[in-house]
Amino acid sequence: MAEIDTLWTLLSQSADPAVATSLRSVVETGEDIALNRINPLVFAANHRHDEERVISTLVHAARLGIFDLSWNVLCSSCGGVLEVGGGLKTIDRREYFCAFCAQNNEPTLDELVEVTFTVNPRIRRIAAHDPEGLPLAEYMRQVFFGSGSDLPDDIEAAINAVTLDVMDLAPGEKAAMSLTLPEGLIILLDPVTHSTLFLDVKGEPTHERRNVSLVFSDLHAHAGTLSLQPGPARISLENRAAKRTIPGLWVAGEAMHQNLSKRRAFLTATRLLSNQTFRDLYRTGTLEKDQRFKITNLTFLFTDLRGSTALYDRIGDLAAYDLVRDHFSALLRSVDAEGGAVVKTIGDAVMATFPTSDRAVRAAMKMRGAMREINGARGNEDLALNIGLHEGPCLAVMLDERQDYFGQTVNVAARVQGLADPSAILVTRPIVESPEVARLLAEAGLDANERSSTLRGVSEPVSVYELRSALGDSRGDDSKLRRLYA
Amino acid sequence: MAETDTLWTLLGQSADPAVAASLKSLVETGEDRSLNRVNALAFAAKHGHSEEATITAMIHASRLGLFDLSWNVLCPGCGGVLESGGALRTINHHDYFCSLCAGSYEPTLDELVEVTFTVNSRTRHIAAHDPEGLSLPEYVRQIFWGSGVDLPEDIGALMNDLTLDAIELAPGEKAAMSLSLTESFIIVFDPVTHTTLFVEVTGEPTQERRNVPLVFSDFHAHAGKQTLRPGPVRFSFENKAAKRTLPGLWIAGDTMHNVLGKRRPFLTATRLMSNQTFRDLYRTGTLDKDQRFKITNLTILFTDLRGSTALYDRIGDLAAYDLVRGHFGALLETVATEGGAVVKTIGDAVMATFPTPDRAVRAAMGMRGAMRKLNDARGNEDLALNIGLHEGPCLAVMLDERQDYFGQTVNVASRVQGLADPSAILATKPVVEATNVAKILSDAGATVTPRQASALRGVSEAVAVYEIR
Repeated sequence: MAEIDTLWTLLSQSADPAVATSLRSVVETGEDIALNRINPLVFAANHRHDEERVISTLVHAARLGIFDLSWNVLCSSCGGVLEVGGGLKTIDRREYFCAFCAQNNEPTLDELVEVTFTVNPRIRRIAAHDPEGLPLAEYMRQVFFGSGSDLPDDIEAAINAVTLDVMDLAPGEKAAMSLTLPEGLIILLDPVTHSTLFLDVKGEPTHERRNVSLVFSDLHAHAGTLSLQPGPARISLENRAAKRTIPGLWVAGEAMHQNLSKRRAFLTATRLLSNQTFRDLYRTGTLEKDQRFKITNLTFLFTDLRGSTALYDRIGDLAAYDLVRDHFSALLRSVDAEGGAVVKTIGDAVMATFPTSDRAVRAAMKMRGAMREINGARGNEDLALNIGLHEGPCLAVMLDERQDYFGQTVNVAARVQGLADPSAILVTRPIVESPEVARLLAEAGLDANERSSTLRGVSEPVSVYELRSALGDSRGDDSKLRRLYA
Repeated sequence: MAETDTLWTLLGQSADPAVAASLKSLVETGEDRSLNRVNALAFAAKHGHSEEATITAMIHASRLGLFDLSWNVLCPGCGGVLESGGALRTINHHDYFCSLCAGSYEPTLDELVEVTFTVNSRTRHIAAHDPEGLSLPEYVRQIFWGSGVDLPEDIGALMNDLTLDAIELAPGEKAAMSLSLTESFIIVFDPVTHTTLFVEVTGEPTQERRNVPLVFSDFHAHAGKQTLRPGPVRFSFENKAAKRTLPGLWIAGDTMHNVLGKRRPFLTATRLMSNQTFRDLYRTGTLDKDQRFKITNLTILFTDLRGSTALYDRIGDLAAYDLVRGHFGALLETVATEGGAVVKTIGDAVMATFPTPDRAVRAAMGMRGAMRKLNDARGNEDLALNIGLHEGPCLAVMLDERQDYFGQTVNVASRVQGLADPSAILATKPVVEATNVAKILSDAGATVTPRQASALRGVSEAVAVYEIR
């Protein structure tokens, strides 16, 4: 117990103390289900904390061993968890099959891989640590569905309403269900082995008793679709899996969709990879050398220090190094404050990623403010940034022993930065067209003016916009910004 | 013993087996002192191995715990070791004082920090593991001087020529030395505490007995200089240090200068840090976040893939990624072969360092060859490199949690690469004019032509750039 106290103390020292206190109180007094696969965004909303702080605190808590971080591959259709891994490394297949929905899913990191946090069993033992002991309703809630499924509180009633019958089968056990099949699509589902058989019940009702059999093994399996007339049937089940199974007959109707398809926001793998705390604490070992994941959309921000070569020439390597380092820490703070992460520094340049474009734009504005502050303190104009932003699809990879990103989107972002000068932040069309960015620009009094430029080597024309003060004064955004962040 | 055997087997698998065999036989049958502060270059020459293979094998051997790697700050005057640490992060003074030479020196990584390898005491216990037990001659050979001083085999005879008298003092002990001094320059010197007193003996001889006291403490100290007339002198020593001391009267004459003047090449910190195996095995933790070291001269090579943006456009991200990775693999191999190290990759670009320009030039030519091979195998011309090289002073720092280099030399190298196209390797004047480069280029049938003077943006000094094709 004393040891656990130490962990909590460490947590509040290294992360947000208010979030740490909330987490501790949930661990000490919360229900079991509140500690299983915590959705950080929901936790933040419930406890009125900032999302970024909750994410960073949970990352710290995971690093300390208070929670276990898990990466779950989701089905895009049902929101079910198709694979769970303690590291992205274990998610090594190109596609994951959902037997419930009979579809393949490519695990794109910003859509189909979620990150959740479960209390470590040494800190507190909860029912979900022994999934074999969970009844169907709790199994569905705590193990089958991901943290993005917004399930009704009374899950048992909801499931009862859409299932015809359910059984609990120990390994090796056989059983049969006798019932009258109503018209409609019935899904025979075992959520433990992810096995399904679709029964398409239609046509003239019959009195004849039909026999249907299904064997469960350890592999996700979709046994196809059987067409049957409505009427009596006997469903024989055999569990050849190493785990207990919970087969049930699900009526795939309106009620099931209404009860089980409500979604809520969750922490995506992309967002975690773009979190500075995560990058700092889990620097190596996120991906295997040969792994590469598709990301549907990620925002890239590149900065470069204007005229740094002339600066080194003038003030010498040592003084330039100290100045460049101060500038890096200021940029890191701006990135961190907006939930982004610095992927790497390249000479005087910085490459950072953000889960959304508005946060990237906000970070870019903060960066300019931070440079003005350092310049003000030094009484000169040595630091000025060329900033470029772009968003789009890319690959998450391991390059040069760090988690990096690769693809034309990254190239374009770097090229856009190359066109920039300190008078304006340069962004591409997908960035300015985001509604959140439009709102942010209006608040900050910034105009987006299209600039005619084609990027070398890029066949599709890329529209580039200059973000500058609507007042024509390059510092006009400053006071408004200060108010915005006051 | 069985455990040590396993380590040797591992070493033979991960490093050059011939070097590993030489090391093993040395550890099993060599003299103690041949296993203390092994100079990797001298070892390579003596056993007929290549320097790179030897350095790489010693790094592996250290990583396995067979040897201990140490970073020693050297005095440029006497070649003595002013500080010795298991990691560069322990070398945290701005400068180091040599009391023997009465000078302060900034530890530049390519001149004044050497890297040596001493057998681990679990692998074999040697006398130098207990320096307090070493005689004065062996102490100065094995502990005081660095691996760059080329000392004679018979150091006992040399010490007799070098010193008038010497004594061993346990902690707390006092002693006196009485003798008659003739005209000379004497250095009262304790190599353990690095304490000195200079005594210039000059003028009219006298019969009067003079008393010269000297106290040794745990700090390097230079007690200044005294002028005495020739004649009887009594030196009184008191050892207030926690270690035994070895004070002696050294004659600062021709013998001493001959000894100190005989130097041999040694493995510099810069060269080790530019070794790919070292970067791979000791990736983090070389420097502290706030440390920065000056390097007098480092060769920096930048490459970039020509037209990669158009390439991604044409073949798509996934295929481009595989191709770019193949290209990185080939470049890394070339760099490692030439004793260099890849500092980082930036998009499709690579930054690498080399201890000398000739190796960098050879690597640049090797890289072009490697790209031709990859292109031939694929039946197209997708891979072509823009390569730029420059050499000069820089800072070794930790940036973004990796050991990196910083300064105008790095900027210029990157700018020179930016001017390049695949038709020629671009190199600056210091690279083209460096030792061996002309020969390498003529052997390879390459021509060097000055490039139309092109000012590098932001660089005030004109930088002469040459095209190698």
